[in-house]
Amino acid sequence: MPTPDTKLLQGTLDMLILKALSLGPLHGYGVGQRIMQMSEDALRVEEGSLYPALYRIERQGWITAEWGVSENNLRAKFYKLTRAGRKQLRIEEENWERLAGAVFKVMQTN
Amino acid sequence: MFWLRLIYSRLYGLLRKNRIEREMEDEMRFHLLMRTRENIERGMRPDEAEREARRRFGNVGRVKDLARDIKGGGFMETLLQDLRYGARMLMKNPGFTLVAVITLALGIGANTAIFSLVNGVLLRPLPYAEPERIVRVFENFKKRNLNFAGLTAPGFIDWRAQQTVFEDIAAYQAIGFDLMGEGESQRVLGMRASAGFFSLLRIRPALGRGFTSAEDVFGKGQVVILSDRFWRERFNGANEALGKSLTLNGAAYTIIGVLPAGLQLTGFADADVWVPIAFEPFELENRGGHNYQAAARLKPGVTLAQAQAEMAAIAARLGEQYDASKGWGATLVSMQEQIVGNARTPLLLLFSAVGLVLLIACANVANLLLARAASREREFAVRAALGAGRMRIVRQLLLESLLLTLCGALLGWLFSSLAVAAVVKFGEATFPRLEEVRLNGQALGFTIGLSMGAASLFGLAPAWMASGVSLCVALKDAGRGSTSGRRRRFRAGLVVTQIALAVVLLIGASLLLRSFARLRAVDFGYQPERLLTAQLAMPDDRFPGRDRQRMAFLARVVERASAVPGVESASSVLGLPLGAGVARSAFYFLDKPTPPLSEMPSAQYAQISANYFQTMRTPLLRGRAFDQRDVVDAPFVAIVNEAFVRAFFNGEEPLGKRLRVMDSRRERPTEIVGVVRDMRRGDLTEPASPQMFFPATQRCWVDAQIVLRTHGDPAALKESLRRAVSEVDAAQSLFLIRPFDELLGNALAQRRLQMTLLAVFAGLALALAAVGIYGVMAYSVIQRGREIGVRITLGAQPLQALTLILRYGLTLATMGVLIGMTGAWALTRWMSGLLFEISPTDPVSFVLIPLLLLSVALLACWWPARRASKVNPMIALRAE
Repeated sequence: MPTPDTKLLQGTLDMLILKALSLGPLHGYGVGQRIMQMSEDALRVEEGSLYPALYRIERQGWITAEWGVSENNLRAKFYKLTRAGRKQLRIEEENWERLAGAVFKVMQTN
Repeated sequence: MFWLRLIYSRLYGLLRKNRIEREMEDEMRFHLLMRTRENIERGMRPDEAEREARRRFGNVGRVKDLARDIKGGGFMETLLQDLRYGARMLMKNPGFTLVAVITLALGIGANTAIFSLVNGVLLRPLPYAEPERIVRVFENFKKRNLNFAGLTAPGFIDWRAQQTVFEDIAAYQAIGFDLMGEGESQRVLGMRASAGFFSLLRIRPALGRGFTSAEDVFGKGQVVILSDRFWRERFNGANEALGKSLTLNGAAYTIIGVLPAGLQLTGFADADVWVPIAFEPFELENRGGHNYQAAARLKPGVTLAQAQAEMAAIAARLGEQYDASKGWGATLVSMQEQIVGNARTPLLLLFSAVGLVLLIACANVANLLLARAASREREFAVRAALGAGRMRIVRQLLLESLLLTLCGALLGWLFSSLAVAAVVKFGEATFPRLEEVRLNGQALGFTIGLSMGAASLFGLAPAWMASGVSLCVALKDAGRGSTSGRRRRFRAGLVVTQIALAVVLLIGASLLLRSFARLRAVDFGYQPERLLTAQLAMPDDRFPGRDRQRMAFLARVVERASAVPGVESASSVLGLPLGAGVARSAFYFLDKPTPPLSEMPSAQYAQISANYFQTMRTPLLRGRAFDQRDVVDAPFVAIVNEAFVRAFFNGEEPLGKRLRVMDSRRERPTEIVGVVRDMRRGDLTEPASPQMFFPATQRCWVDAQIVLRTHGDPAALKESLRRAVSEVDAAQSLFLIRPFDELLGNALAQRRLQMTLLAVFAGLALALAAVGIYGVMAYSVIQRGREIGVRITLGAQPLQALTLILRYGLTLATMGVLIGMTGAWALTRWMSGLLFEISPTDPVSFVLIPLLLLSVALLACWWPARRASKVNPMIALRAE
């Protein structure tokens, strides 16, 4: 699976996108921007990964897309979390916490 | 497949793909625009900002490709992907693919061919309007075991007048005509039919008109309707033929109509000319001559049973009224049943047999798929890890199975078209309506349905099993492919099933084969080799009045024929052991009280020249043969067969007994002067029935056959015989000149065909089962390589390794054989009607076939077992 320059695991990117959209509908550009803001510029999502990920998640039925008008009056495609997406996000958050906790513990041991 | 894909891609491209593509482009353009704006806000120059945005986005086309893969993935798209992938996988394993496709093609081809037969012969409605309402009407005489006798002329008239269940009922009778033209006379096949015949079949002449009831009266019936073929041959298809005259048996007939081209008169003789039956006065007086066939159309809503009941009641009433009708009843059979009834059992037998062959083929392919699935476990595991669901993998495997089947079906269709052509070509005289059998749309539908069924049958289990493998098991085991015990048991079960099915088929084939051998070895009571037969008619218009002329003429023909070079002996007969039509006559013994007509015994009836038995080489057991003494003015004599003696004499002396035979010579007492060996009649399976022979010099009818025993090939003398007869009288036509072998061949043809087909299917089953067991054994040697290696390292001898594998194989084979024998035991009784002097549980078949199967299984296990004994422990262990 080609994910150029991405330091993120595929599953993790999906989770981040869901998280970003849980705050409200966004267009693709906005999703990337919001993830960057939320990570305080630590995570930069490449376009080459972002759009495939969006389409993949859309296919899973976790988000839906709709054309709308952007803040600067341009036609743009907006993504919105579905009920199933919200549920998925919860599951992934739990899994992530468990995994991160475990990894953290491992790294703590000397 | 191709056009489907084409339409799909066009539609998809037009309706959907463009939109998705456009939206994707819009979205990305928007993204670039936003990025460029942001860059400008950060202080870049516009052109620099845009370049940076593009650079950052990367290769747009590539992103689009990726996105398309995800997005475009509708059901059809992934299906096509899977198909492409499946096709690639099949191409990568040409050996496997070839074996599987050929196996399936054989199974599907055989099924399609037999289905075409079953469909064409049994299922397809007759080529008449509302054929289910057409019935054949017979008379029966239960006490003499006659079920399908013809009607009498007065009986037919009464039945027609009194019945209320038929729209119409028509009588008909085949008749040979001598057609006089320029030069030699020509023999044409004619039919006499009552006025309603064509209208009840809903057949209208293409030209002219049908018979009227006014023409169906003695003296008024000098009109004729021609077949399309005859009209084209004789009149070049000219409309002016109507109104012209045709001279048949010396009488002039006016042409009033021509039947439609391509008319199929299935179930009726394919006659050249049709004339009104217009019963003659002597026919209308004869209540004992059951010489006419009848067909009828049921009124709408009337069932066969209702019609049967009414006709039986009418027959019973007539029986009380007329002495000659006493004891005669009515038999009604649907036309379809009448034509194809006898073909049902053999065809259904063949149909079940090919069904079993297909099952075995499916088991084989399933086995192959399982073996292959084992070596593809890694692939599935990796795909599963990459997110393919179990259903997706099952679907992938099913698609591959489907692809295999489609290839198999294509090849099978080719096979079946060859097979059907061959059966139709060489199957003359085997099944009714065979010449109408075609590979048609219905057969295509059947093949497609069958293929789908087969694909899911053999594809589902392997697919399900393969898809359920967990990643770690597969990867851990990957070196040698995993053997879940479950899968091995399943494959073993498949092999056992295959062997069992093959046993059933082989036993069935063996029973037919042995029946056929018995049939060929039957004592015919005569020697059928090197005989030539020909039909002769001596109609009244050429021999008016007295029979003496006819007798003298026949004697001259026989004398002339015996002088033909290459002829060993010549004779004449009416009532050859094979061939259509058996004359029967009632009779009684003069030394016993005269029974009423309905209680009289009857026997088969033959008129022969003096040296007939000599020509046929039928031994005379007692008394004397006919000779020059037996002329019309001498006392009348008869020779009877053994069956006659058995049936009527009960240990008494037959020679010298006198009887009265109820034919046209009933006034003359007839003395039995000899007894001959029984001659088997008809299809040879029936035991001979009582028969009386009379000298043709005392009783001589219109018809006779000439029989020649030749020195060499009888067919070579056809022309010489024809010339010899025309030397006696140029106006005498001779027809149906055939070697006796041909008649015999026809009598055995259906049995030979069904036996040959079943033997082919059984052989196929055996070969497939052998391949199946070989595959499983070879695989199990690979699987157990390590075990064997360890054993050998620990000191086991190679021989022990060999026996280990052989024992496993033979255990499976024995289980299969036992199950198969049980199955055969239960099933073969259904075919007892097709057997001849062989019991459905024939011990020879039930011993030899299992032995055969076990030997084949042993052979199939032998190579894998030898390989096992040569396992190099080092290599086997290192392979882990």
